[in-house]
Parts: sequence; C-alpha cells; structure tokens
Amino acid sequence: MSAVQEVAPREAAIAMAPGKRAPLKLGSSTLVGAVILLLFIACAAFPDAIAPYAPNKFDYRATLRPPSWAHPFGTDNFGRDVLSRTIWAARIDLQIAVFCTLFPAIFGTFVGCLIGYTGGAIDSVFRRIVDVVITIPFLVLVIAIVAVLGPGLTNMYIAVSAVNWIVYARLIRGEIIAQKRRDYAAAGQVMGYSASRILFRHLLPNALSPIVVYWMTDMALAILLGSSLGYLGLGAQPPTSEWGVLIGDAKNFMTTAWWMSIFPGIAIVIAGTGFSLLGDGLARLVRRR
Amino acid sequence: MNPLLSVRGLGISIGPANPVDSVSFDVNASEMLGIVGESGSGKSLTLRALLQLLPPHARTTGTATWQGRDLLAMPADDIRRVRGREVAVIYQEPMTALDPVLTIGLQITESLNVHLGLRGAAARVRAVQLLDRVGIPDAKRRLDNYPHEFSGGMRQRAMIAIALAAEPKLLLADEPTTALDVTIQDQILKLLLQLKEDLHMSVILVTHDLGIVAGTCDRVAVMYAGRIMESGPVYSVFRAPAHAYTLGLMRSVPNPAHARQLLSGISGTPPEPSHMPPGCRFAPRCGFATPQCSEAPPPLRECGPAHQTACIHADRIRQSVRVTA
Repeated sequence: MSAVQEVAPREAAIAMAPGKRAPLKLGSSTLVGAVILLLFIACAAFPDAIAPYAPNKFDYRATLRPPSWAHPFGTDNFGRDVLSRTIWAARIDLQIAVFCTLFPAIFGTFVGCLIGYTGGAIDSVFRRIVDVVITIPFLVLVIAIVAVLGPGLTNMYIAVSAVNWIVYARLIRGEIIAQKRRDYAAAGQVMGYSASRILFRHLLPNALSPIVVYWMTDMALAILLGSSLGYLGLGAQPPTSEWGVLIGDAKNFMTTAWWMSIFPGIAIVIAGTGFSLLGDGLARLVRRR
Repeated sequence: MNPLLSVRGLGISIGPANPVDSVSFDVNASEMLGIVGESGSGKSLTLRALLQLLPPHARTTGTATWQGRDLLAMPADDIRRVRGREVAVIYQEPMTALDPVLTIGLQITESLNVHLGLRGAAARVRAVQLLDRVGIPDAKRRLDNYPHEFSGGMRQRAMIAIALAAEPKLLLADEPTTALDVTIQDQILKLLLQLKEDLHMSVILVTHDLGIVAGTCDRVAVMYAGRIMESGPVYSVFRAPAHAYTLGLMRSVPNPAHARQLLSGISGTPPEPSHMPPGCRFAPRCGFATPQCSEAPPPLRECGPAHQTACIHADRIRQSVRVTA
C-alpha cells in the first residue's frame, strides 16, 4: 500500500499527548451536594433500617412530646415519631423529584429537538404556546389541573408533566438552533447523513449539557412544588409521610409543637440545597469544556 | 472519453440577484480542476449547488451530468445518497467541521457505517487504515481522541479520512487549506495530490490562491462575478493568460524575487450580484475595455488547445504580456 506515510512531526508535537486528559475538579461544594443527596437516597432506600420507629405507629401515651433522646425530632399529635416520618418522607419526596421531571425532561427534549431542527411554522406555533403557558404562574396552573383530576400523587405527576415539559423543550430548542448553524451540522448533511442521524447523534449530545444542569435545579423545584401541593392537600395524601404533608399536619400545632413543622421544613431546605449544589457543580463542569 | 462530471449553463439566483451565471465546465476522471476567484465570485456557491446544498430560497438552472443523471434535478433522497458516497466534500474549517463530542474514530466509523454498511471491528480496522493513509501517526491510538486533541492540520487530515471513507469518485475541496499555516498547507495539498493518484479520484479544488492552483491542478477555471472568465490547462493559462482578469490576478501576487515591489492589483470592486454590468462583467474594472465589451456578455471561445476565454481582446492581452515580459 502506497499510503502517504509522511508523518507530520510538528503537528504531532503541537497536538496534546493522547490519553492524557485534564483531571476533573468538581470543587468542595459539589461534593457537599453529592453527599447530601446520597444521604437522602440512603433514607429513601432503607427507611426501615434508618428510622427508629415505624412512620405511622401511634403512641397515645407520648403525643406532642418535644425533642428528646427517645424522639430527637419530637412526636406529633398522634404520638408518631417526627424523625421517622421525616426519614420515610424522603422516599416519597425523591420519588416526586424524579417523577415530576423525568417525563418532562425526556419528552420536552425530544419535542424541542424536533422543533428547533425543523423551525418554520411549527416553531412559530410552539413559541406562541410557550408565551401562553409562561404567562400563567406554574403553581396556579398545576393546582388548576389537579383540581380537575382530583388530588393525589399520580394526578400531581400528570399535572406537573403536562406543563413542565415546555420548559425543557424551550431550552433545548434554543440550543439546537445554535448548534445546527455550526459547521459540523452542515458537514453531516454534506456527508449524506439523514436528518434524524444529524439531529439525534450529532446535535443532541452537543446541546444536552444545559438540560442536565437544569434537570438538577428542576428536581429541587419539584420537591418544593410537591411539598406545597402536599401541604395544600392536593399532592400526597395523609397518612403518607411527605414533607409537605407533615408540615400541613403540623399547622394546627404551630404555636405549641414547633418541632412538627420545623424539622420537615429543614429537610426540604437541605434536599433543595443538595440538588442546587450538584447542579451548580455540573454547570461549572460543562462551562469549562 | 466522457467526462466524470459535466456542468452546463449552471446559474444560481437568490431573489433578484444571480451570483452565478451560465457556468460550464467538465471534470475528467483522476483530474484535479482548480476553480479560482476572489471572495464572492461564486466559486463556493457553484460547488454547493452541485450537491443541492444551497439555501432553500436559491434557484438553480442548467445541468450537472453525473453518471448519466442530472445532479441538479435529483430528488432529495437520491442526492443524499450521492453526497458523501460518490461525491465527498472537505471544508475550509477543519476546526469546527468535526463533531466536538464524538471521538475521531466514531466519526470515521459512522461514515463507513452509513455509506458502506461496515460495523464493529471491521469498521475500526478500516478507520485505522484511513487515518494511516492520510498521514496521522499512531493511528490506532489516535482513533480514541476527541477533535480538540488534534491540531488544525491533523483535523483537516481527519476530515479527509472521513470524506475518503466511502471511496468517493469526486472530492470537492472548498478552500481546504485556507485556515492552516503555510507548512501544513503544503502537506495537505501533497496529501490530496497523492490520494488523487492512488485512488483514481477526481478533485475540484476551490481556492483564491493562484500559487496553490499552479502547484497542484491539471486544469483551472478562473471565475469572476459568477462567470467563468477563462479555463484551460494550468501551464497554458499561467504561461499565456488570455483574459484581462486572469492577468490582473497574476499581477496581484507578490513575487518573492522582488522585495518591496509595487503590486498592481485590480482597481475598483467586484459588482453587486443584483447589479451586474450588461456585457462583460469585468469590463468596468478592465484596463483593456472598449465600448464593445459592455454590449453583450462575451461567450467562452477557444484561444488555444483546450484553452477557452471569455475576453474579446485576448490577443491584445497576450501581446501586452509579451511586451512587459
């Protein structure tokens, strides 16, 4: 084979040595976020091993007890252990974080890809829909849908998913529009690649990083939303342990038993912070590339 | 022998403007054709039109016969099968034309997969051969590199490897070396020449650099304001230019033998594509122009063996070259 064996020493020297990549530095705040989330995931996975009591075990001899060694977070009006309920609630709240965002992220990304790549009239129609949807406050819209469907976790997932995918679609649409003007997209077309190959194999991976970062933030928002609806009695239903439900149960005892509402509230704050820190770390990582 | 590609009367109109007008040329098998012209002369548009890669609002006229079929009139599905498989393209921007999130190896095997149906280990073996062929050292390990780990010259080599994957019969090279520095430029051009010989592939090389054409091409077509001004064998066109524009271009190139020389250049600017002069499009800037030049567009005519010019004053121009030389 009379291959051109003309080795280009200068070029080879300029290029980075193969195999050596800059080590990924995530930063301590990202690490803290990851640890927090791992703790919550552990609570969600093995609540019966971690929690000292069963979440719905009534103890009428020990109602509304303040925090003590036996009940570090105190007990509620039925004598249930607030610590155990808060731990069990992690299972429901992480489930909310995932289920409220998984479908919107996947479906919204898919639709946004198609819209961004196709453009034209479809894009104009989509932009009008977005305009309408974002003028209505998210919570109000979700409450309206839940009111029609009826309260409960499943209906809450349906309501949130029906609205939330638009955010992802809007995000990825802009990214795809930016990516499809780049030369490698044109090069794919020149190579005779099909539109779906260019879109899903080349444009999408390049456009995906903001979606991943937003997804983290959105999970924190979903927990907030889920507990808001739980508090209002539209999300998870008592006696299910869910942080919003716990706070809702506590509202009649705010002045007498502060521990009933404070500890689930702190759990929400810490979980939200965990997702945010991780999201920030991912965003930094993505930007550096 | 029939030419591999035969373009006849290619015109491109975008709204009221027609930036390319009645362009005709042939490309023979295993031939390197250079298309030279300054920015905006329509050379890249011509190249893009051949594969129907113009923006949707552009209209094309004329024919481009390839294997008995007209590329310009092919349905979208058919032209897509021609792209990359029979006619491949390499670009000016090797920095951005590679997908940044996929390894070089994946991008080569993708082309092999789409065009030849090669997969898995077989595709990988072929990809190593291709990278090796375009002169990338240590090809096997380089396959797992990302584009950002390659230098500009190596990226252009990788682009060429991707383009060669389907063993195209014709390679359209749109200013393939403009973004590279001169030593790398030379290596890439040598590579293209070598590949042309080894693979019996034809190449259309679009460039604004006369030196590149002189050093690599068999034939050259000089474009100005969307028309071919002169075409012919490289030695003939450069030795005896028969068009005032070609002459002007050649006099704009600095000669390394004379330091601090005054470059003649060409006065004026190219016409707006929407307001083309009625006759010869170069006439308003031409030192040889007579009123006759502005009457009607002069057609290409023979002025030597396989040498054509669109200048009605070809003889006067050749005389002036002889006088000054």
